[in-house]
Amino acid sequence: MPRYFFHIHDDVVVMDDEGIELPDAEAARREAVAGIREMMCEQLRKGRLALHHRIEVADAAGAPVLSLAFGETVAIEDGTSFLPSGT
Amino acid sequence: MPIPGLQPEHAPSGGSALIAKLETVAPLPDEDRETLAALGENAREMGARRNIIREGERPDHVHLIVEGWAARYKLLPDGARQITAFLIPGDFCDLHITILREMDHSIATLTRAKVAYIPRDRMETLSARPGIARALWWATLVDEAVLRSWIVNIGRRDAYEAIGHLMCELYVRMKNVGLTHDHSYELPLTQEEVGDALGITPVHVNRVLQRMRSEGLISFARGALTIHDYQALENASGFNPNYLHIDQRV
Repeated sequence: MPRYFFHIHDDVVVMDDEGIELPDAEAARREAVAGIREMMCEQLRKGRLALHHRIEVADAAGAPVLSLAFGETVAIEDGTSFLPSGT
Repeated sequence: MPIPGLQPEHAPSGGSALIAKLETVAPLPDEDRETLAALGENAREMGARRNIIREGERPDHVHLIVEGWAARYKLLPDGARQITAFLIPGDFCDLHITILREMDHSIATLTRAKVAYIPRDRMETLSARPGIARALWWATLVDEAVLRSWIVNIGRRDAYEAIGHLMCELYVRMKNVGLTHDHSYELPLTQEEVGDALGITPVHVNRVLQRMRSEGLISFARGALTIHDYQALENASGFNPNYLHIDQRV
């Protein structure tokens, strides 16, 4: 299985030098989404939510596979508008 | 994080890890020490990530980790894995398991390992020796205490505290079997394995480890974890080693 590396860009840049073996880029996206949502939960518990933080996934050669902002992984509703996930 | 599969360079033989651990309770007579040392003699060599026994199988032997690391785990219907224990040299995988008809969880190696398969009658002979029997009960009680502490860890600590707590626990356990050098020990766990033990994603594990590195608490080199400020890591994670019952010999 190919190895994907999940570099986190939040308040600092956190390079992933270990990576995770996953079947394909779609599985890498799911892993990134799960990680982002979990880190957002932890932010929320501390009274903060940074939608512009992001994860950049690279393959073993270092080539970018996908880039995902934290805000892209949740549907945000405030009762007056609805911003579907991914906008 | 460490390189999977790397073995400790100065690992004592399994018998001696077990003896070091069981003598936490009280020094054992030479005859008991020889009996325990013999347990590791015909241990099976196993590759990394091999099942020692799987859920549903009948446990005919008690397993003793002689060298390397193993883990207990449960697989969920969606394929997710929860690790419920890390087993290091000198650890038994359930002393009384042969009483049960079938395993309710699986045990697998994480690294290359030597695992002793001890038949039930041999365990009964061991338990007939009073010093060993008492030490084995101590080991069983500590295993249960570790499980209690993991419940607290998963239920009540954030990811940073939980990872710090796990590192402190493994440090104390490794030290007790002679597998630390100053504040360093071989930690052959991947981010996924740490995450599966604590119920967090590997991406989040990586984030927390980076924070600990940047704070100067820990570093990794060639598969070994070094804790640079043990007291600070203990304070940050709320770690109290009392549940490992290592200081009971005075």
